[in-house]
Amino acid sequence: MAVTNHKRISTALALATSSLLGQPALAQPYANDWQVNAGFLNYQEKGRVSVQSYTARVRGQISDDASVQLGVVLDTMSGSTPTGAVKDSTVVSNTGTSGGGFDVAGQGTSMADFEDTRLAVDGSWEQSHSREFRMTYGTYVSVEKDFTAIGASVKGSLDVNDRLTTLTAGLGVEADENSQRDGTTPEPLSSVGDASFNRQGRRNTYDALLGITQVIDRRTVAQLNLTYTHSFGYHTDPYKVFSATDSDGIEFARYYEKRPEQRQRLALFSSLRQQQLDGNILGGSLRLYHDDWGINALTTEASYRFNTAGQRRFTEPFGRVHMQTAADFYLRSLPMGEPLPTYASADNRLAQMQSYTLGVNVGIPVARWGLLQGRASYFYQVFQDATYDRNRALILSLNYEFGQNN
Amino acid sequence: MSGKGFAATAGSGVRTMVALATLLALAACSSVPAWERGALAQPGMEIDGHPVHSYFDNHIYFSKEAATGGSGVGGGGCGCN
Repeated sequence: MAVTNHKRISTALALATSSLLGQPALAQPYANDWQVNAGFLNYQEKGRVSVQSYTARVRGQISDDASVQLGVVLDTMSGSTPTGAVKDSTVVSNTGTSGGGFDVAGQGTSMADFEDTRLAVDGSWEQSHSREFRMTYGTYVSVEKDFTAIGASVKGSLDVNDRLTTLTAGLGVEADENSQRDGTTPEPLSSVGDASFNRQGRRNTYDALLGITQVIDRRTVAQLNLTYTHSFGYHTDPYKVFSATDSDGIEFARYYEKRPEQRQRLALFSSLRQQQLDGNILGGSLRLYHDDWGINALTTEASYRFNTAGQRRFTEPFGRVHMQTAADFYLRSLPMGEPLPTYASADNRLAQMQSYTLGVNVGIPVARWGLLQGRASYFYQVFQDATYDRNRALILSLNYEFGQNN
Repeated sequence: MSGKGFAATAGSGVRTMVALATLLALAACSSVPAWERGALAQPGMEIDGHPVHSYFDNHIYFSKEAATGGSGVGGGGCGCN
């Protein structure tokens, strides 16, 4: 009996070996592990900014323990944006700043036309050092006519607890150069009429992240992240101004804004995905934010993915609410008789604000490995104590992805 | 712009993170065998969201709101804010 078994095992091993050796050589063993994404975004504010964004992304496994990802983004931006000045003015000031040029005498003084193009490329390398531990190294470069950024990041992920828990830690660094289109920055808190300009501004930003992703049960996964960001250098927006106004709110002087030279940000982010018994997926997230400019914010999102005809075809309505307090140095305008503050900005993005987004995402399988997604959403912002008390935008995006994972 | 105030908030943020992470780990004390994790691997269950949608969303909200962060490291390099 034992001899017979031995013979059977030998025969099986021989057959297995010969069949393995007999396989034709796999010249491209990972050729089918690539995932390609192409996306288009159209962001259109009512009467203001218009952005078209084109992105392409490819991700692939290049060996048993390494994968790479490459991306390119092209943005075109145009339209008009609030300068920070109040609407009623007696001031006539310079028009020399392309892109940020404002105040053609007798016309709108609180909006500035702009036009810009942005090209960004990024790449990352993920290396598995064991079944449980992997590192991801990333870098990116972004160029606009008035802004350049170069950055890098490193992130480690460790699976523990029978791979039900993933611990993550990451660091990031970014170096920026910012100016008006002619390469200059206005002297902060100088009168616009003085036309006093300096060289471009520079800023370095450092990020740190700690995170945990946890499988709660066989249908639920949750994530908790804490991020800390500290930036040093030029934080002022070289195009933004604020008005000094009289008792009737009429502008009589206009100054370039000035923001602090440092900023520390802290964000606690939690997210959850849960598959229901019928296969549909509930998603939700909550972010608490605090920075040392005095801004506190709460952001929450929710989505519900209705799967039809399997997991690949779906309809997913979603909503988002964001609430923030104003920065300490935010002002709508500087009242007559008040001295110039140390820092001042009338940028409505630093005002007390509520933002609401409501939309739907639809996914349609295309052929065997393709997936087309279309998203439409409406974005509505309400500002308190700001020159413009609301902003509305329609956001449309299309994304096509192709790969064996679809 | 009080550094001391921010440090205190950062300290409480870290403590909250640790407490919530502990709760998260405790909530998951029941084991899920590998063969019962099929639902977690299905399309739409990605906890980080869709990469292109996340990129577009971050791009828009970063340029229109003051708060950012929480989902990763590296700002993505945009002069829009």
